[in-house]
Amino acid sequence: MINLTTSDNETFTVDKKVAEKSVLIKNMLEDVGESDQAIPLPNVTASVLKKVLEWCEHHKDDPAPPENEDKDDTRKRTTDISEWDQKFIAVDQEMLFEIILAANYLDIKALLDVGCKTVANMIKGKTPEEIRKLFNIVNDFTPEEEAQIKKENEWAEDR
Amino acid sequence: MIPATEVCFVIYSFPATLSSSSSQQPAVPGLPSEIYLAIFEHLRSTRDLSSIALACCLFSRLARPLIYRDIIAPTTNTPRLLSLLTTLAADRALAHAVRRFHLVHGPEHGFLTGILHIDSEIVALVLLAMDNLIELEIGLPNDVPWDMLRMCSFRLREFTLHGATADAEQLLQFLEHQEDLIALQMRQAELSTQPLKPILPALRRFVGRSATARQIWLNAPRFPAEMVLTNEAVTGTFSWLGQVMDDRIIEDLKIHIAFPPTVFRAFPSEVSLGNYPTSWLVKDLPNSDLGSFLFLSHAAGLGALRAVVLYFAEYLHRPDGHKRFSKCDA
Repeated sequence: MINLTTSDNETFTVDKKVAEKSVLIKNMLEDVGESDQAIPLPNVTASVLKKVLEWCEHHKDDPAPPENEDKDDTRKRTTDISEWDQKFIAVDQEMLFEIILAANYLDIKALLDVGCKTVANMIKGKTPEEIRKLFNIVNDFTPEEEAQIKKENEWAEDR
Repeated sequence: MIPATEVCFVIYSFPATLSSSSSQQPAVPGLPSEIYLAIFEHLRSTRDLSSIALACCLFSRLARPLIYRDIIAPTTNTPRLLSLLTTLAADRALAHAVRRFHLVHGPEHGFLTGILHIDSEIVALVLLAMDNLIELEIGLPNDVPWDMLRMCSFRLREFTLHGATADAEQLLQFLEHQEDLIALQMRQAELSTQPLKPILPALRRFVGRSATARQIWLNAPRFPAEMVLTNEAVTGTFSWLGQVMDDRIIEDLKIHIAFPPTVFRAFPSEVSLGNYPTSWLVKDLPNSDLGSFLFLSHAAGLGALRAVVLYFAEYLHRPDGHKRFSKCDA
C-alpha cells in the first residue's frame, strides 16, 4: 500500500497498482523505493485526488496504452468517451478543469485524454463569445486583428 | 516604522480580493497552453477551430496551425482559393503544419463557370513549403508541376492523382522518391515503356488501371494488401496476376476488379447470382490454383458482373511445387 498526502494535508492509502496509474508516482517509487513515508502531492487537493483515485481504481487493470500511438492519424481520433468515463467526468466545470490539471501533473495520460475530450465536446458548435465564457477569458484582440483572422479563415468556413 | 499588523493585513488581503472577485464569475482555473492545445487537437471541424482562433490571442496562436492541418482547398471559389494559397506560401511555419492537402480542380469537377485556372507556380511553391505533408490529393486543370513536385521534401503516405499526366516519366520519377507511400490512386495508363525497377516498397493499396499495377508489382518486394483494378479486360489481368504471385507468400490480399460492361456484352446473363446481382462471391477456388480462376473470363453468363473481389488470406508457395490458397473470400 502507498500513502499519498494532498496539498490540504489529507492522507490517502491506496493499492500500489492503483497509485501507479500515475507515471509521476510510479517513477517516484522506482527512484526512492517503497517506504512508509507518504508521498506529498502539493499540487492536488483532497477532493480532486479522491476523484482521480476513483478513476485509477476503475482502470487499474487496463492494458498499458501503445507507446507509439500514431498521432498523425487524426481521422481516427474521436471525441468518443466510454460510458463509465462519461459518468465519471460529469462534474461541474471547476472540478473538470481541476481533474485535468491533476491528471497532467500526475502524468495519467488516459485520464487527461478523457478530460480534454470532454472539454473539446463542450466547445463543439460554440461561438467565439461562448468559448470565452467557457474558459473565463477576455477578448484581447484589436478590431483589426479580429478582422484579419476572420478574413484568413474564410476558406475554411463551410466545414 | 510601519506596524507589523499593517504589513500582514496588506499581504493577506491580496489573495482574499482575488477569490472574492472570482466568486462572481465561474470559478474556472486557467490551464497551461499545452493542455489547451491537447483539448483543441481533439476537434476536427475547421468551423470550431476558427471560433477558437477568434476567442483570444493565445487561443488564436494555438489553434491556427490546427486549422491548416487538414486542408480541403475551396476550388469552387477562386478568390478564397488564391487567398489560402497566398497565406500558405507566405508563412513557412503554417505550411509546415499541413498534414493533408486536397486540391482537386480538374475536369472531374467540370471546370465550373467562374473559376479561372490556378497558376501552377503558386501551387508548386505551396507544396514545396509543406515539408510535413503525408497525404496529397491533386487534380489541376493544367498538368501537375512535376519538376517542382520532385523537389518537395515531404514523404507521402497517401497520394491521389486525378487525371492522367502527359509526361508519365516525370510522375514515375516522383513516385520513385516516395518510399513511404502506402496508398496510391491514379488513372495513369502506364508509367514507362521500359521495365520498371522496384519502386514503392511500402505500398499496400492501389487503385488504378491494371496495366499500371502490373508494372509496379511485377518486381515489387512486397505484394499489396488491396488492389482495386479498373478499366481492364479481365483475361489480361488474371494472367499477370498469376505471374506476379508466383513464388511469393501473400497474406490478406484483396483484389477488386471492376468489369467494364463491354467485356461481357457477348455473354447472356444466364447465371443466377442470387442476392448478389452485380458481384460474384467466390468462397472457394475450385482447383486451389489461380490458373483455374482464369475460367471466369470464358464463363458464360457473367453479363451482370460488375465487380469481383478476391480475398486471399494466405497464399503459400509450397516446396512440392503446388500453390495453394488456404482461404478465399469475396
